[in-house]
Amino acid sequence: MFGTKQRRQTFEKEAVPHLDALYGMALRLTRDERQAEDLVQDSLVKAYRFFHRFEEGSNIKAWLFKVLVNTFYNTVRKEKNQHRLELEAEVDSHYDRFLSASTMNGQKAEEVLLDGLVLEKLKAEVERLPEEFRSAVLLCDLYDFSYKEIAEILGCPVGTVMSRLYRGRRILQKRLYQYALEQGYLRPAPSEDELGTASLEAYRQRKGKA
Amino acid sequence: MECREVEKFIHAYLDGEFDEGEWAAIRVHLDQCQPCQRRAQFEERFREVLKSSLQPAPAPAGLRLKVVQALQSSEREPGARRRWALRLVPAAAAAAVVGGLLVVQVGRRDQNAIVEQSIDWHRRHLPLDVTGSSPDVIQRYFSDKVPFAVRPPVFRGEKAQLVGARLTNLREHQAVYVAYQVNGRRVSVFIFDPDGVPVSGPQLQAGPRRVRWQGRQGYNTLTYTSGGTGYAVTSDMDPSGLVQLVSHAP
Repeated sequence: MFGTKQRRQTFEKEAVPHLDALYGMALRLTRDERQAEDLVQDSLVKAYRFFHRFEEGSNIKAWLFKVLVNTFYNTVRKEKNQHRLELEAEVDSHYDRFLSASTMNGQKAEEVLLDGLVLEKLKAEVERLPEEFRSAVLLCDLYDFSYKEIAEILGCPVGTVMSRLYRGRRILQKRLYQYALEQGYLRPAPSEDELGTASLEAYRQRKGKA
Repeated sequence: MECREVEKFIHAYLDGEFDEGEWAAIRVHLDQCQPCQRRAQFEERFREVLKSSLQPAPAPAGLRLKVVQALQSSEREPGARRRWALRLVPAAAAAAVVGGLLVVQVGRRDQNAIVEQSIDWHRRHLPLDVTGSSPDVIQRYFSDKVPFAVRPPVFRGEKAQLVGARLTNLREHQAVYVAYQVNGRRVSVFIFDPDGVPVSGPQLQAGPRRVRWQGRQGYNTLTYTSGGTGYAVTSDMDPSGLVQLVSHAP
């Protein structure tokens, strides 16, 4: 059996190197520096109490993130379900059309979307993402966890991780697209009908002029 | 692989989740399909800019020390503090205050849940899932059934014997009920995950450990945590006899 002091030192040695990462995640979850500090502290105290459950040799960083995310969710989860409904309408067909049109017609629209001016907006939009998508995106794109680890941390199946990542990134793209439209960097993608009519008119005009 | 599947799995491919075979299949498709190739390039670039826009925020200088201190004091006083939850930013303040009050109220009401349930289970003679006097057998039996280690306490004395155990619930959490016979009297031990299970009652010293005592309906219950697991020991013994029993249990 470990002595108490030895046990604590082992835990500290394992956990403290991940303090920055844990704090970064806590800050993004709570959006408040003091709360983030408290959340990290509480999570680590909790993790320490359950340290015997941690299997040596498995990924301690993922395990600590799991405790952090759980500690956060257990307290504020109730607030977050309301986002769900808003979200269903979020990914609408406009962006789909834009994406397929730009895929078909070369990359001009994509260049606009990935332009520095538009991208300034990206950081703020990540913060605005609904909780479940934000967590998945951050765990994948900032902390480089595998899908399996993210599933473990968030307590959901890998399939759910995949769809949250897909939809989370998609929402970000769509909001950048909207921003680019508002700023006049982009013109709205024509609908299927407009596309047909417009090209027919153009064709006739060309024909007429010729 | 078809275009539809490329769309579906594009992120898994870019995030390096594909195995060799899957990777080869999508590569073959991308090499032959211009739209999918552009689509993949776009997602790849988007992923890169997303990654570069997400900068890690380093922890404040004092946090490490605070954590180390919090770990030390947690050994003296177990129980998670949730100070941060009561200190939400103004934007979320209204919802948070309501949430906070709820937590407190539920907490108060639940503080006696473990004791009430222990006494309730102690009084009823319910069938056991596993019988026998070996703590190891019981520990093994529950090893794949509950998400915490079940180590039945071993009470000293010739006439202290483990009878058996069964799976039960403490509200929505799983718990294990263990039955003993000590000097001809029934002793029940509830083993549970103490996380989020508040206990109240005056504190007593039972050998090396601090326990909380509550008595009602002629029964006494001592609750304590050991090695991250919660225990509630119930009997019709008087409190001092129960304290003595618990103080010698490893």
